[in-house]
Amino acid sequence: MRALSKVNTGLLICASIVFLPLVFWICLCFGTVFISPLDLLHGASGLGVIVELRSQRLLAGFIVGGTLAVSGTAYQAVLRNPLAEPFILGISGGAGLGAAISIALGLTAVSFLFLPFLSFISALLILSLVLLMARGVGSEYSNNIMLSGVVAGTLCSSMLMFIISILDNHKLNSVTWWMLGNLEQGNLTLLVSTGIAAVAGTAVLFLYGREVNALTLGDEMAFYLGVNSKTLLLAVLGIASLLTAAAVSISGIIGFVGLVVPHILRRMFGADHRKLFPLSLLYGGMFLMVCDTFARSVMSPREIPVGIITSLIGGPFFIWLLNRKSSRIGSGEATV
Amino acid sequence: MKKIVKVILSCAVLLGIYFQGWAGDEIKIVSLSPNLTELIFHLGKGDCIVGRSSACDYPEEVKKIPVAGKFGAPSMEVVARLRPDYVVSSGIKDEGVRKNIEGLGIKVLLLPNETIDEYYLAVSELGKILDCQNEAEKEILRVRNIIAEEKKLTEGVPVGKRPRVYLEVWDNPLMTVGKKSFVNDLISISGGVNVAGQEEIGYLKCSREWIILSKPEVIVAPAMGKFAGAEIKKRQGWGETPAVKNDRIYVGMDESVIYRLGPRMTEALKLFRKCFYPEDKSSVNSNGKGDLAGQGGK
Repeated sequence: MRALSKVNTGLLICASIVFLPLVFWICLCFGTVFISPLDLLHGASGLGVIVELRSQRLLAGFIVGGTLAVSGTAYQAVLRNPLAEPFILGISGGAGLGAAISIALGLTAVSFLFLPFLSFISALLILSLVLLMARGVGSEYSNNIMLSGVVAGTLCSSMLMFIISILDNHKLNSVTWWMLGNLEQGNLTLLVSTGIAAVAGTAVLFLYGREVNALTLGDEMAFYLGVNSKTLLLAVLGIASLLTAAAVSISGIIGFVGLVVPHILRRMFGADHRKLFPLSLLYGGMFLMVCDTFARSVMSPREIPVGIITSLIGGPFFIWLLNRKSSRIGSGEATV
Repeated sequence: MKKIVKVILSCAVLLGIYFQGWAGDEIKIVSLSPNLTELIFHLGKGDCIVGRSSACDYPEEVKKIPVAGKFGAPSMEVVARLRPDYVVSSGIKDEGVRKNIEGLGIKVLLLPNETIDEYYLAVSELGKILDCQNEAEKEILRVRNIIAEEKKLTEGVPVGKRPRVYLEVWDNPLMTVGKKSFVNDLISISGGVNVAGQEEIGYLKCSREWIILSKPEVIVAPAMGKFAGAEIKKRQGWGETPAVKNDRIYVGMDESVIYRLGPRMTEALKLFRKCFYPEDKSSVNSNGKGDLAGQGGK
């Protein structure tokens, strides 16, 4: 594994980009019925709609998974906490609240766009609230931010519980289903705009890669290396949170991708964030594409919420990671 | 003088208690399931209901009865105040609550409503405790007869010619009925074939892809609003299904008729048959809602 961290960044990313269509092609075969990979190449008749539906869903999986992994990488780096994940600043709570409100008020029946719109807006509101609460400056800033995030998240979830407690069964079902994450209801325009945002956001983070590397060494070290840690922290958190809010608004809350994928990649490819950001987008996306393929094929026609699959894979992995960490502490090196 | 007043007061109290006992001779029931409430009214014993669940909304006069909890979740305080003889429900969400109610000396009668046979059982049980066995027998006979009639109307249609039906319970997530739901039985009695009829479950969430691949010829979405037909047609890829191609989407029905295993299930059978065989005018019964066929999506 160490050898991989020495490989040229460009080459590694190019290799991964070649890998992507292969995963896409294999995932495209699975679903309610198995379509042989060769039939897909020949474009067998009568499969057009199914392939279209599957492709759109895989695209949603790629965009959401990639976005969550990129945000997770960013959060873990600038907050210097291995447990940080995209939802730590209360975004999931905020988005969940927005979604529940739009379902409870019956706005989803008017237009399905209300749900992503409201959840995006309320995620941003909660994020601003968190940043406002954490504005006490000094060395404790990153801790403040995380604690404010947890508090805001708890506040949101109690309001969410209140809404859930007064909903009727059908609406309750919609809220629960949304909270478990679902890639099916992707509207193509919404999806493409989120995709463009994801790529653009990753590119910006990639440009900040050097500074982020410096920040992972600590505020003091970053200061000596000429990095304004607070500005950088806010910029990176801002970008990552915007991306997360956009992803959550189209897919609901999908856990563990943002926590686990960055850890795997850091172990495999080293802790250089110039590499990690683009790789997170690619592998986070592929991970969720594969998980969603499981979710829609294993028990077909029944669907398993994709959040359950990511947690089933992510949970055991994370326990393994925690146990391993104590013996290999400090093994990840950053390059500046 | 004081003595006389005391005697009169005591007599009045005793008389009051006596009359209360006399007036309360009729059994008092709290019903926590809408289908059982409907059934009790249908058996002519609506006066026995002293408390209902917030979901009980039919017949109209039921709305005057105080609410004693949610569907399957009684409010202990209200039940204790109403002091019924029985609490009836198709299920109670919290077993602890059931024990508490029984601790007050109130009997809890659970009458599940998953299958049509369970409906017959519920009818005869209620007939016994409400002392109206004759009416109960009549009701069982009525439902049996109508089911037999309905079956007869479509028995000549070979299985391959019966319309494949997708019944949409909810749109987000997409939910339909499986083999273990009585709605599946209602569909097959009315001469349809439920596309999810092989699934060993009552209700299931399903994928768009699967629905398109199962090629439904009729789509029935009772709980969705009147405009759901247009929305269903617009769904990506659904234009391929025979139901959308032939404009056979039926929406905007009274969902309490379809999803409630009560006396009105016979209306549900007729509604379904009108959706499945709209051309068969002889089978259209005046009890059903005549304006349903072809309403969807236009």
